[in-house]
Amino acid sequence: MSFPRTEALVVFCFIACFILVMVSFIIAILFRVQKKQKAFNDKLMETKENHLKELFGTKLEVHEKISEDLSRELHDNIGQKPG
Amino acid sequence: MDLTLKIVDWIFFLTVIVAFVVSVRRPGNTDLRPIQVYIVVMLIEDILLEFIGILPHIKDNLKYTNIVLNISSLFEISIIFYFLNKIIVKKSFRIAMLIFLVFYLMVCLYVWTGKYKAFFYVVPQLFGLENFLITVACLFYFYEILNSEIIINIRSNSNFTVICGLLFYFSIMTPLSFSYFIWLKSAPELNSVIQIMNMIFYSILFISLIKAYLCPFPEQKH
Repeated sequence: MSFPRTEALVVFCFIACFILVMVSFIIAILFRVQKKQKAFNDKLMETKENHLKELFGTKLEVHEKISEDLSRELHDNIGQKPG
Repeated sequence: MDLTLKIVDWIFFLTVIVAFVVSVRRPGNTDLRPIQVYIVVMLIEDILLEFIGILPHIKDNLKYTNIVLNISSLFEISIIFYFLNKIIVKKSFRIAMLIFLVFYLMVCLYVWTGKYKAFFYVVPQLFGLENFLITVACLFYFYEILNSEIIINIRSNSNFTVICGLLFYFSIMTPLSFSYFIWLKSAPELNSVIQIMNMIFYSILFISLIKAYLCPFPEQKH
């Protein structure tokens, strides 16, 4: 079986295109994996931020409750003293 | 062209040696043990080929070169499939890889000892088949990571780096191997170009293996 020169060159061009396609495919995979990782990191950051916000809110609530209790107790104690 | 081929051949040999040294100096990553074995096999193959090459007075030295290439191809596909089998989780993919390996071994057995008795010759189509099966196995890995919740850090995941290198080399070499006879018969001057391309791509594969060894030690299975 013999192949003319031009046919060989056509096959060579086809293979060169195939190489380009495969390299692009690998680069696309790299981008996709990186995008997935970025989305995951963003989600993680968002969760962390929400968690911090909740923690801060709870802390504030507890602080307010303590101040309220303390002021009420102080008020009661002061009210009892002159009597 | 011959000088270029020789230079590229030595660059490839140097890359394999560097990969071997790096793999020995960083033995902590146990996931990459099969890759270390692969590097050793390739190093032995290269040394044997160089040794046969510099002894032209050996009778039938081309025959010995072909035997070394044939046997190393068996080692190559077995080691790479073992490595992929360790990191791919999906059972159907693992079974498919086992079937691929058995199929390839049977084809080799048939071509080498059966009708063609080609053990002492290089059959490029066999290498093409090997490259194709490895490419498909690498695609299994990418399919798995892209269709699951697994998050991979491409800068520090050594397995990912290795499989990128394997996919790059074996996918590119598949059509080149299958069409080898076309070059040989109709455009023999392209034969050297293909050999140079093969060496360059092989060097890139080994650079990716070096990069994988330089990654921090793994913290996940994938």
